[in-house]
Amino acid sequence: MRSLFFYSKIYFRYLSQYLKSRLEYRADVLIQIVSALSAQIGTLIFVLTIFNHIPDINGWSYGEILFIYGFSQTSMALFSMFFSNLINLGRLYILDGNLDRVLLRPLPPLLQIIIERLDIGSFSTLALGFGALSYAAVKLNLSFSYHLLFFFVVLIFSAVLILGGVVLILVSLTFWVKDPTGAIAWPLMTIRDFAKYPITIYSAPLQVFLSWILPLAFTSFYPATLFLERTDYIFHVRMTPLIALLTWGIGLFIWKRGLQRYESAGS
Amino acid sequence: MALIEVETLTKTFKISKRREGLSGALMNLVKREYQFVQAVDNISFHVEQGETLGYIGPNGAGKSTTIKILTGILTPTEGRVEVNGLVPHKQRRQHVKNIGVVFGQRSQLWWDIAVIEAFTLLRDIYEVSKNDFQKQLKKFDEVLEIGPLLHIPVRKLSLGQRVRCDIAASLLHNPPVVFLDEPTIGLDVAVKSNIREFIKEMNASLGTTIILTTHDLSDIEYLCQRTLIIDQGKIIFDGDLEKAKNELARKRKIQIDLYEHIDIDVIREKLNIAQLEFTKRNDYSLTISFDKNEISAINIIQTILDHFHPRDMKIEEPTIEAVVKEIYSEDI
Amino acid sequence: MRVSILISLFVMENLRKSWRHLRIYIRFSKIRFVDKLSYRAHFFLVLTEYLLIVIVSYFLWKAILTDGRVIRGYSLKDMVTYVAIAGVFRFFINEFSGAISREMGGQYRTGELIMNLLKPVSYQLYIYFHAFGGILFHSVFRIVPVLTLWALLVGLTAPDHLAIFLTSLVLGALVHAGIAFLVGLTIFYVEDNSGILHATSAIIELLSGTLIPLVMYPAWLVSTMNYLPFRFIFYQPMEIYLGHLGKEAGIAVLCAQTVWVFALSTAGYFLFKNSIQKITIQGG
Repeated sequence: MRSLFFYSKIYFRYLSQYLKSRLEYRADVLIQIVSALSAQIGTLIFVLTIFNHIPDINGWSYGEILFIYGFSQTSMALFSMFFSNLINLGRLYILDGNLDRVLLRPLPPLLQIIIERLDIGSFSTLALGFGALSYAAVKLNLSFSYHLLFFFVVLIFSAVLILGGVVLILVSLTFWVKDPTGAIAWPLMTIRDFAKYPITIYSAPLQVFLSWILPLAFTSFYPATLFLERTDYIFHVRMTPLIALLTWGIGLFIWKRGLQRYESAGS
Repeated sequence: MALIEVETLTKTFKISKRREGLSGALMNLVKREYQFVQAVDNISFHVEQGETLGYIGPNGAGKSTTIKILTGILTPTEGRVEVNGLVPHKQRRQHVKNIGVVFGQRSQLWWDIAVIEAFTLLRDIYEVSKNDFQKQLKKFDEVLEIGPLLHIPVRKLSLGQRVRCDIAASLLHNPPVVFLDEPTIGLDVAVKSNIREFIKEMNASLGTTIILTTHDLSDIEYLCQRTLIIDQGKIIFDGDLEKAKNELARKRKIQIDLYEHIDIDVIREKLNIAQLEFTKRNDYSLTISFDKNEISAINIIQTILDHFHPRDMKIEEPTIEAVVKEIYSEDI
Repeated sequence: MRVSILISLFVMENLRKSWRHLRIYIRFSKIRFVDKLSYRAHFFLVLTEYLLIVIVSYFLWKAILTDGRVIRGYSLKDMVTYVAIAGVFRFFINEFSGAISREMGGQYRTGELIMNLLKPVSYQLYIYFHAFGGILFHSVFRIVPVLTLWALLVGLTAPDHLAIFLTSLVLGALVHAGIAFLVGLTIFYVEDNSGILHATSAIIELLSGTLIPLVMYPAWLVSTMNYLPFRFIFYQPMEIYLGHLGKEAGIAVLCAQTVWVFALSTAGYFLFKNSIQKITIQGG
């Protein structure tokens, strides 16, 4: 209990420090917001344009596609908000030796890395995702209950954890694969595009891959079906929190093993 | 039991070799060649509480690797390390509460925030009470003069200012063991002596154990009773460098400038001592080298004064650099 | 007779000179080319990444254009080719953004840009050729393998007018380089232009047609884009490839591209001159 209090205190201290330092460069903040938006808005424009010409994609209506997109975008934005620094772990920390500084402090290193940076741009993508989600929900006239709200929170939380866990696994590999660009997790940001659309459009092997090997379908499509009242995927919906725990477990294991191989920069 | 115990410590790194040119780059894409480098090779030493230990050696000798193992950053390949009864890389979080670390070449403070903000953040992390914190700040201000720097963002500090703040930051929690890795590198003389003074005072008043790596041997002369010299991963000297200077560097040189034209044969005849080496510098100046344990400098000087008209005389003490060089060369 | 020998000697001499010049610039290309090879893990990672982009778009379009649906003249068969080439074309977009715009920013900050001004070469050409090395690298090691794989596994239609297509692709790359250089120049005027770079990449993806064939956008947007250079980077070459344009329209595209290459590079030349003066005045 005491340590929970201690850690949340430290978290907010770090956060306020970070925001203070960011706000010194106001133009930067604006630029981050604009660039985050411009990187994410392409898919939305794509969907809007395509549905000008056709009524459905693989049996999924405009509203449903928008909802899945919104769910994916929301979980991704929350991921960037809390875990964005994990992506830098390879280059900034492992290869450039900033991990030295982190390891010299009496706090869990992963916690320090996560809280050292907050992606301000993610506020704008969160708004975008949540906007799409709400718009689609209204358009589809989806039912609402406190039950569903609770599930929504649990599922979004799980989705964020899955993304974080997968990134942690990939980034921890930098301890072994000493790629000087440290970009091992970057492709994931592209592969994530898979999760923006209903998984049913992909071939069977790809569906298996996206569900059970790189579980990105659990970060958007499967959880979203619960609210779209499609009952075919209820098993997957139930699995979502488990997958979240599993990916984090594996991620932490590889991270701990990797830390022993850490070589620090220079000699 | 000693405060720091290092037994048969070894750290091996795997390094990939790069081939040159276009075809080399293509080959690298397919297959990499690796080589193993022993940064630290089977070293052992103990450090007692309250010691100030100098740790020196050429670049890439394994100094930083040792320090990083002792501070828990690196996991050793083989061997045993204990600091304060803790194994650094295993009980890392407990261990780092007991130590303070300064890397002169790399700040551990947050780049964008003011120094005082960084300090209060560290205060919270190390759970230092507000009272102790104020006391520490006051103490640091007295010697390191950091008072005026507290409200400046770290990135705007000069190197000397930054290192002073870094030292203060690493000592806020009053650790019993302090590692200083090149703390004076690139600093001007005034700041250097300021920092040395502070280290000496800390060791004397609090009994803090200090491990100091440096390139500046005058730091060692001023601060350390004991010095380890490491070269190519092995410890080649462990002891008092001042004593080593007396033992190893027995050669003394006297430089003599005369008003008259120098004739070495005449001088040799007058001195009439074997085992002297004469080097003529120019027509009016020469150097005499001798072993100080066998011949007294006074004898030589007296004889010169009696028979010639010296304009100037200088006795050259060997520098500590020369001593270290000699230790290296003996090692080879 | 004599005059003609003199003239031909003169021409030869000048050709030799420009060849010598070109060889210097080609060395810049080679440096970049070798540099790109040196990151092994990165090499395969990026290759996988782009292959995956193509796969996502392929399945997406397969679902969109099911049952023989056609959108504004684009059938599934067209789109299978279109997405494959658009996917690998992202390498070009990244390369131009990285090796021109971002590189200029980096060099500006480290002071390398100023050092480069001291060399007896044109900075603009130097940075263009720097990017061409990367483009060549991508073509040889990424685009060719990915497209070959794609042709074997999924299928790829052959280009309609190969010569015109390739010419327009090269001219498109030059248009692209011109834009990237102008974007790179913003570093002289703002402290951090990474946001501008990101936004430009996104705009180029949208307006060059790599995300979606431009003709599918709403009519007002399509007509606006006729006045902008972006469509010449990718969309117009692809229209030639897919045979949506005849030979004559194709050649008209080449002419329009040439005009844009000239306009953008000239603008870059003068703006660079201006920006450089800004540094010297500041004494920075």
